[in-house]
Amino acid sequence: MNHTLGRDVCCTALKTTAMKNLVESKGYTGIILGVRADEDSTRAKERYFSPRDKHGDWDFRDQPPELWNQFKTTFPPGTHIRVHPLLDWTEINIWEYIKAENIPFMDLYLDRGDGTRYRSLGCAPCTTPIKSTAKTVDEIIDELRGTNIAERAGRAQDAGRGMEMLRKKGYM
Amino acid sequence: MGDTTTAAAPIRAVSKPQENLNIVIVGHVDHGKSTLVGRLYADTGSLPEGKLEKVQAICRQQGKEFEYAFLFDAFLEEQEQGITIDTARTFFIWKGRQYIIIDAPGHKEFLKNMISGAARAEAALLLIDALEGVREQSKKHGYLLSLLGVRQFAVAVNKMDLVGYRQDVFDSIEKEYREFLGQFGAVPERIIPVSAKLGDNIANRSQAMTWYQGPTVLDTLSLFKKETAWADQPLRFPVQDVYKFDARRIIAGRIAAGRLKVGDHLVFSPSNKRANIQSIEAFNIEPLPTSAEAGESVGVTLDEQIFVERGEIATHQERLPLVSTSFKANLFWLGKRPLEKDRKYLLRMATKEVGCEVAAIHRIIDTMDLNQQQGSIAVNRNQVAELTLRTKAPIAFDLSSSFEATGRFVLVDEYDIAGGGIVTEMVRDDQESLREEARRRDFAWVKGEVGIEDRAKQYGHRSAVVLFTGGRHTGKSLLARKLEGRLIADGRHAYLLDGENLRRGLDADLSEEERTQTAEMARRYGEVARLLIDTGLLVVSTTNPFGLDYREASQAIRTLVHPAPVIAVHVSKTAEEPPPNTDVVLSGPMDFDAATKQVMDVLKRRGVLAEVLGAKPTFQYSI
Repeated sequence: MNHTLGRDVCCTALKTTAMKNLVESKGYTGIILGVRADEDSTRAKERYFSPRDKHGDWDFRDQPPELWNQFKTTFPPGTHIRVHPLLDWTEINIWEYIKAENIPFMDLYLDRGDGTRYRSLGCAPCTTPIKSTAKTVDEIIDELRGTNIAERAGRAQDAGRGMEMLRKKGYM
Repeated sequence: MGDTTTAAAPIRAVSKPQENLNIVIVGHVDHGKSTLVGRLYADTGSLPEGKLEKVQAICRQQGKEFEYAFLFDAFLEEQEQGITIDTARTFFIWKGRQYIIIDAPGHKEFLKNMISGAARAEAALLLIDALEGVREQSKKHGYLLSLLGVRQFAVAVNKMDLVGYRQDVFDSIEKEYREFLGQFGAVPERIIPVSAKLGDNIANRSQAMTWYQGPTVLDTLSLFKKETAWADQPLRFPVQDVYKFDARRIIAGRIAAGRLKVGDHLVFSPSNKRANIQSIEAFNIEPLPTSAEAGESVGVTLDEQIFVERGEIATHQERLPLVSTSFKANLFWLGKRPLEKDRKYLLRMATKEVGCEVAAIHRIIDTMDLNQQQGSIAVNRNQVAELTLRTKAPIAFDLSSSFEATGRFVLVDEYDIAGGGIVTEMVRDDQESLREEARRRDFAWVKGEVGIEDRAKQYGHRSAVVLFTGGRHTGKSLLARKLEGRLIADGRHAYLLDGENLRRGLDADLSEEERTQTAEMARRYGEVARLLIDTGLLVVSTTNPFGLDYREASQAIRTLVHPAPVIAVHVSKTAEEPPPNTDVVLSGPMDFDAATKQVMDVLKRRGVLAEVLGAKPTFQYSI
């Protein structure tokens, strides 16, 4: 599998299908994921506790109600639940937290001297860096306060309805 | 575009926002909610670069006119049908505050999504189409905001361009809607005439409606206040979990209201357990905090090892929650199946989960005209009703008018959250006087140096009551004896409490007539059982002395020994209905060994025999 076969084919195989296989083979009944509402407009419609059916499909037309800190915590056998604790965090919140707790991270997120850095990381052929001179976490936070470039602007898989397609079929 | 607004220069945030505020946008379908949100972002320069262009390009490709709504109605299905299916959350920063804007669907099919959105909002903006006027969902959403506890809201009368920006049209909608809201005491902060499509009074002041002098939508958002008053309320600390580390037991949860500090005396309801806070635990923080308040998730240790469980509410003694098995509530139903009287549901309130049923449906409230329809036997999807619920075991709660977090609940039907409601009134059940007796007794209980946990560790099991119910000549007394013998043979500490022995001794002062009344006999029996429980014993008991009134008697015993586990075993020769909360039903010819094993299995499942207490168990017996 590679991107020369076409982005949709490649993304479906490496993201959606791979994830589905993992859940199935391990028999997971729950997965905790770090997706956030501000990343993508279909993730903006997610629940904190989001059920998936036997095929891993997301029934976005019929999502469970969530109110008053009560979530869907019971579900029939054969299905699984995706838990999204960071749903209401923003990109800046993530960096603030990394700073506060001094969490190590991949240096591709920093400018390493060529005036570019990655805002979001995916597969190499389908991810491009942004122009940036941020070399520290503080500089990233400063940059994000002033930017109006979307976090995932460098992710080719988001183009058109890419994310929507992948997510309805079970991608995170 | 034919905008009739004066431009305000977009201000991008360059400093850290001081606070977050959740705002929900609600109203009837097609009244322009998503358009308003899209416009708000575009006019405040909050859209990421290329977002507008990307959506415009998709529109061109599909040969349709661009709408601001498409910015957030992400699903193909939503754009094709021109409606919002599910709530989207989006973020923008304005004048030092980060807004989380929750765009809720207005179509009645998606009411549960609207509720998910509105329930997490601190303020709301409700839209009404100037041309269509006040519609069904305008009213339902207005009513639900109030039920959901969203007290802070403004109304925007949208599409003013379609009615020639006429003030009389606006005035009559304002009058009609204010009258509707007034019926349940809701008062909007502002009513604003706008055109979301053309940008009038969204971020920029309208030039076409100079007759309106009030704030724009954007100004109104800035005027909404952050609710911070919960810390000043009396303490409500629902127990989420009890962590057992080395010798410590940490009671963890999020403080829903009030404050607590080291040294405070806490009362746990409904168990009536009490102890003082010894420490407030925190991860990776030196020195440890000495106080905490509403909104914080904390763990506390107590100066005494008491057994409390998830679902109890810790408070100070001066302001206890209510305790009952019954309360009245206003409820909205979202389930695919109607809510019915003879079905079982799971009630979840704060951290408590308990089985429940509907005792009575008093009326269905028609949110269109707030008329009340009586005599219903079911509540259908998207209806609002006033009803009385009855729980399987007593729970601690508050009226929602005093406390939000402990005064509202959801109902689970099979796997799904299917409804939500607020508690409006406590209903005194028939156990109230016994419960009050237990509360007074437990509060004043004089304790020795040895706690219940110490005994459990020493004995290798918790104390519990095994209560045999059933008519005469069913073999239950013999079975009770067998069970006592088996427990002792296994090395447990068990005692058979036979009612006959109390009758001739403790109850000797009662007159013949008094002895035929179950209430006082059951009370005495329950109090003796309570004493034996405190000694750490497994009390094996029958309700023989109460004749056939075992239903009433078993309820009274439960109330008096609460919160000790009561395992109820009903024995009968026929297939009669067992008393509520029965754990084991034995009918037909008795196989004593099999029946004993069945009861032992329940004791293990309920954690009476298998509970491992403390880090270094010193059990002399295998469990």
